[in-house]
Amino acid sequence: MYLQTQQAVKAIVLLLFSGFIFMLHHTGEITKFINPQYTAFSQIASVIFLLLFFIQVPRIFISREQAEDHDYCTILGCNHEMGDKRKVSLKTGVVYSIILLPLVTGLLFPYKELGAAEAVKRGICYTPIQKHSSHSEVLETSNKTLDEMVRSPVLILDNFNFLDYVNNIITYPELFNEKPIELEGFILMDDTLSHHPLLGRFLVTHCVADAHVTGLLLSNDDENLRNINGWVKVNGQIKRLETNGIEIPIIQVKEWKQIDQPEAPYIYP
Amino acid sequence: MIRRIEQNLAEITGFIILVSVFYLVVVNERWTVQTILLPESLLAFNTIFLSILIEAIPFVLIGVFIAGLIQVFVTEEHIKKLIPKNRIMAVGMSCMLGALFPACECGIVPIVRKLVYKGVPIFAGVGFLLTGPLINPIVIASTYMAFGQDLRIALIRMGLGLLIALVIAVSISFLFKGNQLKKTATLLEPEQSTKRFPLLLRIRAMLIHSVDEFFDVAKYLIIGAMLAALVQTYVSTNYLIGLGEGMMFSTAIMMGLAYLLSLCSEADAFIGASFRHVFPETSILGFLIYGPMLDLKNTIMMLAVFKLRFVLVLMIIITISVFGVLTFVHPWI
Repeated sequence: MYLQTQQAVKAIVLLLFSGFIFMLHHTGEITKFINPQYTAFSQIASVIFLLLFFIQVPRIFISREQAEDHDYCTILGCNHEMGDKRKVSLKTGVVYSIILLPLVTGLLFPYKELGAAEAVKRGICYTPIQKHSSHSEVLETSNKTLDEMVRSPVLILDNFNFLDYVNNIITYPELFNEKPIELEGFILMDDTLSHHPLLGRFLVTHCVADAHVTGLLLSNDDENLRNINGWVKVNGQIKRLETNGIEIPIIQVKEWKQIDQPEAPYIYP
Repeated sequence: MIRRIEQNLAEITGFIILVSVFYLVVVNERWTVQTILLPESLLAFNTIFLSILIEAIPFVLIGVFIAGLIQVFVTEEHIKKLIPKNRIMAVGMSCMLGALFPACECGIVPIVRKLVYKGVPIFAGVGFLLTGPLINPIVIASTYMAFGQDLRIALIRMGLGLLIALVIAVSISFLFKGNQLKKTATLLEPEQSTKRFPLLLRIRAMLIHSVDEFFDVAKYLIIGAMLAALVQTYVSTNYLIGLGEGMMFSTAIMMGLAYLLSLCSEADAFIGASFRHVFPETSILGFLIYGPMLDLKNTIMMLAVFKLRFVLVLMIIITISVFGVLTFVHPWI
C-alpha cells in the first residue's frame, strides 16, 4: 500500500473548493462576487467539485499490484509516484501554493465591497447615450416606466428601479425638470469629469470584476457634501445643467443625511 | 485487522477529509484576519480576484469535462473522418463549430489542446479557439441588452468576428505545420485505443482525466485572474482614456483595455457600452472582438499549452487582423 502525496493534496484541494463555494452560497456572501442570477452556475460547480473529490479519493492509495502493473496506465494515466516519492520538487510546491492561494485568501481575508475609491478608477457614465433603436416594442416598454415616472409626484429610487430611472432621467432630462427625487448612493468626486459630486451605485452585470458606476450629479452648494466618504440619502429636485452643449440632469440637493452602507450595495441589472 | 484497515485506507482518509471540511462549512465561522493589517486596496484586489475565479470556474469545469471526454472517447480515426481534407473547408468548419459551441475563453483552451493532440490540424484548432467564446447565443443576447436592445452592434460584432477569425485561421494554416503543443508529461502517454476497456472504466478514466486537466489548467487560470485583478485594482481606466484621441488611437486603447481587463465574453458588452460616450463605435467593436479572442488570462493559459513562438505569432496575427479589419471597415460603420 503506497500513499500518493500529490493525489492526496489534489483531493483536499477539490473538497476545499467545493466547501468554499458552498459556504459562500450558504452565508449569502456570494452576492458580493457575482450577480445572483448566475448563482446556479457556481452551485453546480460546487457539486461537480464534490463529485471529482469522490473520484479522486481512491487514487490517494494504490496497492502494490497496481503500482507494478502498468496495464491500466494507457487509460487511467500513468502517474505512479514511484521513483522519488519522498522528494517534493520545488516546482510542485510552487504549483500547489498557487492553487491554494485563492482558498487561503478566500477563507481568511474579509471581503470588501467596492466603493468610491474603486469607482474613480473605472469608467463613469452620466451623459446621455444616443438611441438609434427603432424597435417599437422596446420603446413601448421603456415608455411604460417613463409614463410611470412622469405621472408620479416624487421619484423614489430603490435597488430595482435605480438603473431604469437613472437611464430615463439622463436620456430625457427635459421631462423631469423640477421633479422631486429621493435616492441613496455613495458620494464620488472625480475632478477630471466634473466639478460636481456624483451620487453613484455600482452595477454588477455578471461578476464584481465587470462592475461599473452609474449615477447622477449633485449640485455642490453644500461644501460638506463633497467631503463625505461614504453613503448618503439625498432629497432634492432635478434641474438641468448645460455643459459643453450637452444637457445633463443634476440634482439640486434640498436635504441629505449620511447613512450606513446598505446590505446590498450593488445593483444587479 | 490491520489488513482490513489497509484495504479501506482510501475510504477512511476521504471520510476524514470530508468530515473536517463539512465541519468548517457548518460552523461557518471564518477566522478573518484583522482588517487593520491590510490596506483597503489589497482587500479590493482580493475581492475582484475571487470574483473572476468564481465566475470562470464553472466554465473551466465544463471545459475540462469535455477535454476528458475527448481524451477517452474520441480517437484519431474519428477526427480524420470528420475534418475535411481541404484547408479552407477545415477552417470554415472549425469556425462554424466554435460559433455553435458556447464556451468562455479560458474553458476552451483545454478542449482545443485535446483536439489538437488527437490530430485536429492546428489552424482548425485556432478557428475553434477564436470563435468559441466570441460567437454564441449568450454573447449575442448580452450584447443586444447592453447596447440598449439594439441588434446592430451585436450583429456587426458576430459578423466581423467570424470574418477576422477566418482570416487568422487561414494565415496560421500557411505559417505553422505540426501540432505546436508543448511536450508535457500528461501528453506523453502511449496512444492506444481505449476501446478494449469496459465502459464503466472508461467513464472513470474520463473523470480522472478531468481532475488532472483541472489541476493543469487551474494554476494558469489563477495566475491570469490575479494579473487581471491587479490591473483592475491599480490601473485607472480614465488614465488610459486620457492617452490620446483619434480613431486609430482609441481603437488601440480599447483593444489594450480588453486585453488587460480579461473580462468574460458574456459580460464584456456592458463594460464596452459604458465607453460609448468617449469613443467611436469602431473602437468599441475593437474592444468587443479582441477581448474574447485574446486576453491576459487566456495568454497565460495558452503559453502553458502551446509553444512560446506559436503563441507570440498568434498574438501578433490576432492583433494585426482585428486592427486592420476594423480600420478597413471603419468608413461603413
